[in-house]
Amino acid sequence: MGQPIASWTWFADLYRFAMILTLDEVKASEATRGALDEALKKKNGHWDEERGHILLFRAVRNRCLKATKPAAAGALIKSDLQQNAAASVASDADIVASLHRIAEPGRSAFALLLLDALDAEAVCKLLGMGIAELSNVVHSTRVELHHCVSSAKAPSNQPGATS
Amino acid sequence: MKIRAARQWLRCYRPSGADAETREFQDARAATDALPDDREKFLNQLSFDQRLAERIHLAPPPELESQLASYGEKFSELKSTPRLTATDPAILMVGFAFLVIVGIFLWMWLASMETFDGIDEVRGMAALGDTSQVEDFEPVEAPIGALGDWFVLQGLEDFKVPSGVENLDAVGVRVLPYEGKNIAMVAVPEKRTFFYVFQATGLGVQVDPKGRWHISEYGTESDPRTMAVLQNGNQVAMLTFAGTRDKMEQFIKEIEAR
Repeated sequence: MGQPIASWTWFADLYRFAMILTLDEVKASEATRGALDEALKKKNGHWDEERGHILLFRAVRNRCLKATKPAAAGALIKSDLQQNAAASVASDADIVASLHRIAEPGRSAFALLLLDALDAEAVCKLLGMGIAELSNVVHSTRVELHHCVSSAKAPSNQPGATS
Repeated sequence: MKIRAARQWLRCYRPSGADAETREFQDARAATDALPDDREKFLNQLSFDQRLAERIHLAPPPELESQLASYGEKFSELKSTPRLTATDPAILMVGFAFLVIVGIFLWMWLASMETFDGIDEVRGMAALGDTSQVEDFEPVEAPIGALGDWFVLQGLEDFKVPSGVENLDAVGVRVLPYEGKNIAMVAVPEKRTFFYVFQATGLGVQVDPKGRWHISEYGTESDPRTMAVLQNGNQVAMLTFAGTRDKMEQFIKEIEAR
């Protein structure tokens, strides 16, 4: 028999993740509520802490991708992150909007790590990839995002069209 | 941890520092600590990610915020499902059952390796051949590979000999009547061996796998005897001698090496 779960403060990360994927408060709220309702129906009185985290973020992601079409994926960037990258982040850059415009699955992977929502292994499980592939997409997303937030230019990929 | 793997893990390091104590990231840090370029890249990545992380923690809308608290209460009513570990009795029982099933299949497989269709007829033939007396054989002094003509003259066609066996020296030949069939039988002084050639279909013999010697013991504990049977097409060759399975395996290896 398990113990009652104490803290649910991380539910807010579901919304933050949804916001990055949709850039729309209403859609993000709906995706969060929908995923939580769905999880409560399926749980049948039990909760698996580790798997539950992954499944909830996966449910939010699936709902968001249905609601908002992501940017088309381009080639992975292999060049290094520019030196002193943190210092070059524009103070007025909208990080969430810039990350939103980047293609999947790098966008989801990097967002989950930045939000401290899931660790690398859990992100691998959620996205169905190995650590090598995750490493490549995260690095590519990081470099692309740096380009966006430091130069205030649009990312190389076309912005995602919202439905 | 190899450098390549270490770099992969470090690229996925969370800026919160939550990964600092995990084994993979500790190993990755240790693997790259002596590489200044890698260390510098990691610190650059970490400070960049931390700068981004500070600015993506949006507060949910007030309405949702209160709903999330409500969801929290509902989830708190759930009982956490215990994670199954290797030491859980249920897992141990499943593991034990799995091993039993594997063991049964292994035993059945080994048992099938011990036998073949028609093995009783072949054992009967070997046992009958073992009762042969010296006077039952016609003396010869030739390698087995040169005895084909003798058996043709006895009405036994297709006296084909497996590779290696043709070089064994024969001292006697006979036609052994068994189950209404005529069997070619040769006495070999080396290890006091008998060699037989017969047709598989006549005795309902089917040796699998074909083309490989099937070795089994058929004697008694006090008089262990072993036979090695090889089927090639419809023709079956058999070697028998007084000895154990190990000795027959060694003998077959010696024959095949000739």
